[in-house]
Amino acid sequence: MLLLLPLLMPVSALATTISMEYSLGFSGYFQLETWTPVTVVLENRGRAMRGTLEVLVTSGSEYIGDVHQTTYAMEVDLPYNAQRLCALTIRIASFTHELVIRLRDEEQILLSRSLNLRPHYTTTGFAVVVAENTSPDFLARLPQQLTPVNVRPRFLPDTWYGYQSVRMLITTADMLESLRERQFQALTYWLKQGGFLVISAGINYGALLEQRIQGLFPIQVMGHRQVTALRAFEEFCGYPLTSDDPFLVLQTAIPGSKVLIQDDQLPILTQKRVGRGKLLFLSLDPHLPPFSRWTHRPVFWDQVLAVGPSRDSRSIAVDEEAILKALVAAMPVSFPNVRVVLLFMGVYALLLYLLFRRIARHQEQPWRYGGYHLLIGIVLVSIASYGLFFSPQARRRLTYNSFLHLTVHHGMATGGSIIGLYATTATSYDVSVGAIPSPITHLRPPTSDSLSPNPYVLYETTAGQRVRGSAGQWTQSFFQVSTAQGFPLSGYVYRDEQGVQLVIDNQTPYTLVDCWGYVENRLVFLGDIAPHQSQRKHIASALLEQQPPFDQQAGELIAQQIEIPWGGSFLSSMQKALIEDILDAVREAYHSNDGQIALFGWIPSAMIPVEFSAAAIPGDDLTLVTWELPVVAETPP
Amino acid sequence: MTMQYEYLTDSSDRSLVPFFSPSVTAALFYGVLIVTGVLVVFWPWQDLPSFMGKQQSPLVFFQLSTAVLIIIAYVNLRCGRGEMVRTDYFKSYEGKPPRTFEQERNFFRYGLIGFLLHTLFLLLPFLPLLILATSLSGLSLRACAQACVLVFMTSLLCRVFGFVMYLLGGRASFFGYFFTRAFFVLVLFATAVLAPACNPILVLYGMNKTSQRIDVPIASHYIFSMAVTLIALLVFMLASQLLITYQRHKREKET
Repeated sequence: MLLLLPLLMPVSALATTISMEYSLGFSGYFQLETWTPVTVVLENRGRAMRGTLEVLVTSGSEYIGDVHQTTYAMEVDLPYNAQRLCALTIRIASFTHELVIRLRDEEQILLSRSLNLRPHYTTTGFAVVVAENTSPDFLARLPQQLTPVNVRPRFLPDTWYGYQSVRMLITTADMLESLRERQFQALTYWLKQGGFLVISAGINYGALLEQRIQGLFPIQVMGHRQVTALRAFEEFCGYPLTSDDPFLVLQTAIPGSKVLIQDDQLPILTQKRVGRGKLLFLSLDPHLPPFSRWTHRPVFWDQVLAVGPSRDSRSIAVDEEAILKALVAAMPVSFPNVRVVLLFMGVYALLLYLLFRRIARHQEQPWRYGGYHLLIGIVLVSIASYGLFFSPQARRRLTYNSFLHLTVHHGMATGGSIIGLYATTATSYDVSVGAIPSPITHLRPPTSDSLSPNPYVLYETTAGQRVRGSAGQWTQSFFQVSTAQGFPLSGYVYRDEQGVQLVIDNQTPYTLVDCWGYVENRLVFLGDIAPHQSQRKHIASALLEQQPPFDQQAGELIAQQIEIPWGGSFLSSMQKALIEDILDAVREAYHSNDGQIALFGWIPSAMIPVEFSAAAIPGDDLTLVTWELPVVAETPP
Repeated sequence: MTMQYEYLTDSSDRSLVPFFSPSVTAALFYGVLIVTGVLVVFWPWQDLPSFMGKQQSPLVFFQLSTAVLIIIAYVNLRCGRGEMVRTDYFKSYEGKPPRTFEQERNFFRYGLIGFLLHTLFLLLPFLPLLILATSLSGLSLRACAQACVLVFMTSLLCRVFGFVMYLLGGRASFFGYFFTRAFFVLVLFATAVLAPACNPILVLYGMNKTSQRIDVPIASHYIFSMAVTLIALLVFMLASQLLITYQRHKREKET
């Protein structure tokens, strides 16, 4: 599908002094089931006002009966004669319902616009060219399996997950320099997590030397060189790049990079790994001749896409349904112990019996011989009932628990946290999930008959994202928050005469408890891994030989051996519920792999802080960390 | 001063029902045992997550408060008609306390105060159980207090009606016995079909479920039911006052 023009849909004000312009997705297009940027520009020509900008996304099917609305909102402050650019990231799962963008104050809706999504959706990823203008011919030569679009810098996402549908992003250094700080951080974050960025040179290479670009990749520029042909392209994509007239190529050097195309000691296409992503630097301007007239540009771009970052095919994935069921079973609220209740009632009945009998024996002065005692006893027992049963339950009217599964690769941890909210009474909640923007979606409770979630609004604030919603009586709500963060956990494995040596370098501030390793198809318990240090774990050869290969029965036995202490333990409950699924996933992913060893451990705390605006909401948090260690040569490096 | 509070301690056969008479204390004790049994039978043996999954609250509060309502309303009905005093004719002649001074008072200055205090006294032993049931169903103390007020008012209504039947037919009247039971069934059960908005058991059910009746929202359902109960209570209190005043004038004329 070819897109000819950027789709910016200006909407003029009708009856108010506030006007709204908005841009959806990338040049007006979005990929279904992915996070999509929405940029709204508000202009106020009247009195100052404060309001809330809302984007309402309707999902679900009337046929199934699960139609529901998700609201993405942010507070907007519009002084007199001011313009504000508001960037949100939304997730559109269905194009059948209209998208609504509206501005409201506390009392009424001031502006509302509806957008039919049918003409704007695509099912493929994007090849985004970031420029003020790009020729249609350039876009037409990009890989056909992607949707090529031209996006102006101000409409790039503010969040890293806004790039979820972007497979390749082509830009220049001065375009990167023009990005807002939040945009640049989001782009960098996306790149480090597996994004693919192609930066091309231009006549003016000053922007390459700016601090922002140097921080991204430390490029050294030695000036231009004039050439007439680049035969090295033939090795890369099968066709040389030639020209009748000489053209300029930037001479550069990027430390720690790999040169993909080099012609006569002149790097043309250089690749640098940034986290889990890749950055390619093209030393010539693709918008100018001879490249812009080169007939083999499609082959070139196809080859560029092919060298992009590969998605990690091996990962330990725990079944989401199993996690939800485990969270529900381990929710931090329960009925009072029936034995305690029966004991309480028995003592109370005995007290009544004794007092009534005493009163019956002293009918002439009942008050003196038991009446007052009876009243005092009833009051005291009522207070005890309140303290033992009512007050603990009242403090747990709203509770939560969370489970985060982090997968660590190359010093970056990615994963999703599932947060469960449990309400025994109708209540509202306002919860923050950290300062780093993260995609938040709701999940359907495992045993719920309701197809639609409890109503909630996702707020973007300067301090991070907040989820504000209401929960009905005896309801549960689940949210999934994806995260990506640096996690300095690494190491390696080698074999020597004694057995297998694991060197685990944990520079995180967290202790990993109850760690297991999958070594040579055997499951070995490694114990705890302390923080801020490198440590060795030794596995004797005899132990490996004695132990049979790990199978499903062994996993069941391990689960049975996990004991939940009296009074309950969230860590133990979750371990017992999930250990079999985790072990099955490990065995399936690493069964025939000798080059990597899989490990997993637990952190009994929250890495995504769940903070409620209301004080003292009780809850439990747990993190599962899975990572792999490469097997190196027998002698340690 | 003691004479003014004799209705709290008087155990003679001239009293309708003394506070600590053996029959009343026995009724209270067995009532607590019955309600404890109801609690055990209707205990939410399923774990809490299964209730959350169905988005249903345990109905323990409704079941327990209904049991308390039925027990206390019936006991008050019998107390109002004087059925809870000693009925042994011969025992009434043993150990009669000397009578020094007697004064006739109207219903509002004597009987009503005793009825109010005694109905409250009969409700108090069930308070720890109601608090426990409130916590199990996830309701607030306000809901518990509202339920207590509902039980109190309905029980008081039964008591006053029983007293009216006593004034009309005495303690041994068959019609009085029949009509009090019929009134009990009407107020607590028949109204569920004939006038659901007035039925106290349905109000308690609605409070537990916090579900709304199709025609009447739950908050106004409670208020409506209480208003009807209060009106009926006022009518029967007025009837009691008129009957007592009539009987006093009749005795004065005869003497």
